[in-house]
Amino acid sequence: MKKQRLFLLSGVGLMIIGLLLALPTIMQYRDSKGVPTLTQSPFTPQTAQAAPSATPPQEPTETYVEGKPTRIQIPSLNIDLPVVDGYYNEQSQKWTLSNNKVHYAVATPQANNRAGNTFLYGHNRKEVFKTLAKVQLGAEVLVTTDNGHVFVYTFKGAYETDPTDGSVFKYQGAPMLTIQTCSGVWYENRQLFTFDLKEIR
Amino acid sequence: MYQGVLGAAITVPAAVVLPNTGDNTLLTVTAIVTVAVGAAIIVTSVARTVVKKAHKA
Repeated sequence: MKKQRLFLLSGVGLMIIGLLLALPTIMQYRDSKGVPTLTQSPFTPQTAQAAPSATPPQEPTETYVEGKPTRIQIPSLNIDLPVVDGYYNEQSQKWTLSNNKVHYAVATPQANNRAGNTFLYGHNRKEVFKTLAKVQLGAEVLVTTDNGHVFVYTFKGAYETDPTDGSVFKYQGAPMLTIQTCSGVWYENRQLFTFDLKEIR
Repeated sequence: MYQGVLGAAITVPAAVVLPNTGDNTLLTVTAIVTVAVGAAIIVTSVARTVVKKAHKA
């Protein structure tokens, strides 16, 4: 009888341990479902060229400013991280990725005030973008560049896509920023957080 | 300069896949296995008790 009770208790114990281990994933999954979503990808051919919700591309007469991102700050989420270069290896189909830094996809346009999508990505870990799913509409993101400019972007919405969706790299509309991290129970999806350029400080 | 922006976007390979920025899936697997084993133990224990009681009756 005592042996049986011990057996039952070990089962209950395992269940509790398992649920505790699963808790962060469950919370993350719940948060990712609560992110303000876009009804349509901003990178589809129509929206990428017309960019109706975004600021229209700046007049060429305005001083052109660009710079490679070196730091990202999201004050509302207490995120302040260094940004390093990220490269894509065509053979292995893998990107440069670290556990505690954000990467700037160097094949995409640098932060600028004229056109294109600056693409940053990072792990869905507590050291990087775990809390990104809590971002609110209109939240500011500050991207500091290697030449000392600070580009201020505002959050306009997120959407989930599959890993083979390359439309994000073809965008040529108004200047914007996209931050990518993974989502889904098995991190099988890619969640893209899109931001419009507000100002340059 | 504007050309530079567009040119940079074109250098991305056509068949590019998005970065795999997921966290630790091993943790999720461990959690699911642990819950499954725990549930199996509980079900077995309950079944044993039920069978024992049925035998006694």
